[in-house]
Amino acid sequence: MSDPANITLVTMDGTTFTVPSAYLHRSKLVQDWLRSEGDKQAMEVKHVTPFVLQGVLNFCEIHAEDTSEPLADPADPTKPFEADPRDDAFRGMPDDQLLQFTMAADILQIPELVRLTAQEMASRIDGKSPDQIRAMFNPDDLAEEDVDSDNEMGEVGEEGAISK
Amino acid sequence: MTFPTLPCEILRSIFAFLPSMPIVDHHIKRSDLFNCSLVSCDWRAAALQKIWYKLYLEYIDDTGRDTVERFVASIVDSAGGAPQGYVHGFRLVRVLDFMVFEDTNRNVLGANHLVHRTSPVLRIMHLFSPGQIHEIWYYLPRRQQALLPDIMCSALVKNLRLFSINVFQVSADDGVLQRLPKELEVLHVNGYKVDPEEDTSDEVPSSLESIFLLPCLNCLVLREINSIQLSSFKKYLCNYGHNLRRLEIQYCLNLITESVIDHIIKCPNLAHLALFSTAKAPQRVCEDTLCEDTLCSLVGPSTPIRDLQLVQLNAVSNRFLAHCAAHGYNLHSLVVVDANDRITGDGILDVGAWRGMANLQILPATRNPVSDVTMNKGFVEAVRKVAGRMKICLVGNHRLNDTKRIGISQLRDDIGNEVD
Repeated sequence: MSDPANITLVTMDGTTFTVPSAYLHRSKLVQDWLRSEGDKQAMEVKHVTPFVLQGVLNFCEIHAEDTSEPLADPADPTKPFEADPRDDAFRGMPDDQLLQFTMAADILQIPELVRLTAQEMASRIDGKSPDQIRAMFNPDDLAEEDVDSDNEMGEVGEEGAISK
Repeated sequence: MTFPTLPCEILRSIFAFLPSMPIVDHHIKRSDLFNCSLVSCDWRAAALQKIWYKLYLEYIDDTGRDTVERFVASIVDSAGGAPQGYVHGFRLVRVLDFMVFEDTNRNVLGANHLVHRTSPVLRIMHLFSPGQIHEIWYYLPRRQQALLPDIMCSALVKNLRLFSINVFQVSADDGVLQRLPKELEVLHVNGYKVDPEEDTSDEVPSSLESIFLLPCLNCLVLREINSIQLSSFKKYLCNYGHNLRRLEIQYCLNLITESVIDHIIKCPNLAHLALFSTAKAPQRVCEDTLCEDTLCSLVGPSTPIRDLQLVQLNAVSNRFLAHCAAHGYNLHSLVVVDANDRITGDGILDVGAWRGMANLQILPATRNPVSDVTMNKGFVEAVRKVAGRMKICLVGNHRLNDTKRIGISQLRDDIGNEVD
């Protein structure tokens, strides 16, 4: 049986990380695993590279002693987002790494990290054209007819806009 | 380089940080969300959900009306003619916000600004799928209330969870409010500004009583309605008060009585209570006039109320404040606006029950800094000692959690924002 005070995570290539369980108290995936399969030696974290997991664990360590209430929904508009200087490392990373951290945060179900990376992605999207966004994050293409229908809709009220 | 595909939930989180605006503005201004909707199929699906979530139709002037009508006409044409299986953004609308404004002098804008019976806005109401709309916010001026039966079609209200309306002249025969589903959870009913000297007995529709037959409401906001039958309201609290989590009675002067509070106390799940009176409220004393002892029973270890707002109630004095300071351990937020410059904090030195509070506001009746009531210094210092962990702590004209002294008008703005 593994040490209950620590948890060992195994990445997609077999690299292991052993950290205090308390670091991951905001990860719903880890907490569920500890409850149901905590007697096993290690928890597999598929689809996450060692580099990304190391960064996620750094985030968890930095915020291990935070006393704020757990965030239920990263997209909750009623919860104001305040930039934390301890998270600056996430703001300077390249687009592809940011995307991988976002995915890892989602896999490990850490809402606070999802919100942080999502906010950073949103700030990079700000003011960009569809082509520029596509170049940054390279998702699948879109059908021509969808673009055409939206452009027609945009021509409807160009003399004035509704303000609120 | 290989990029992972982002799941819809993450895209939703990203888009939560992009600005919201009316649908037509997203299109006209080519907003960030609009651009995201043109990036890929997955991004489009997630972006459209946010862009089209709320359909905001506002008639405020000629330009606004023309823009809305042309936009809605384009929706009606494109949604009506869309091939089967094609998901038009219109199908993603869940919140409908339809407002026709009056000016501040209560003179309705010219006839050109009104909604005509042939307007595409009325046609669009009938294009929604049954159960599609979850929230409706209507505001119609007096002369447009006749439209209500047209815009309350059964498909529109089938799956409604929130309904907000202003009422002037809806008659019982229209059956507008009777059409609300029994499952409705949140209801806001707004009347008009109360003037105690004005005879308004014929203004409020008798069909308003039907709202008290809605069993599942967990939030009820009644504002500026002065002729609800007291017996009906008390009966409602008896029958369905156990479902209420939030109750706001704003400027409905005949409902803020001793017997009503007695019924409110028995609502076992009521976490938020707001009672707003006005300095103009009649001072007549009768058997059912609210007294301070009854108000005190709202606060204590056995009551569920965590968020209490009492605005300009004559019954509130230093004694109520002392009771809250000694017994309000459950309170997370307390806002008291004085009615008649009686609240000074005199004699209150033990405020230990407020140690865990997040929002404390004890505000004077008047906006005029010159006539500000002087708060007891001992009371202010006692509150200052427990204010450190509060998000907001305003006592008189003192902001105690950052020790700055500020003007009354700023304080009133603060409470206004909080109340909103």
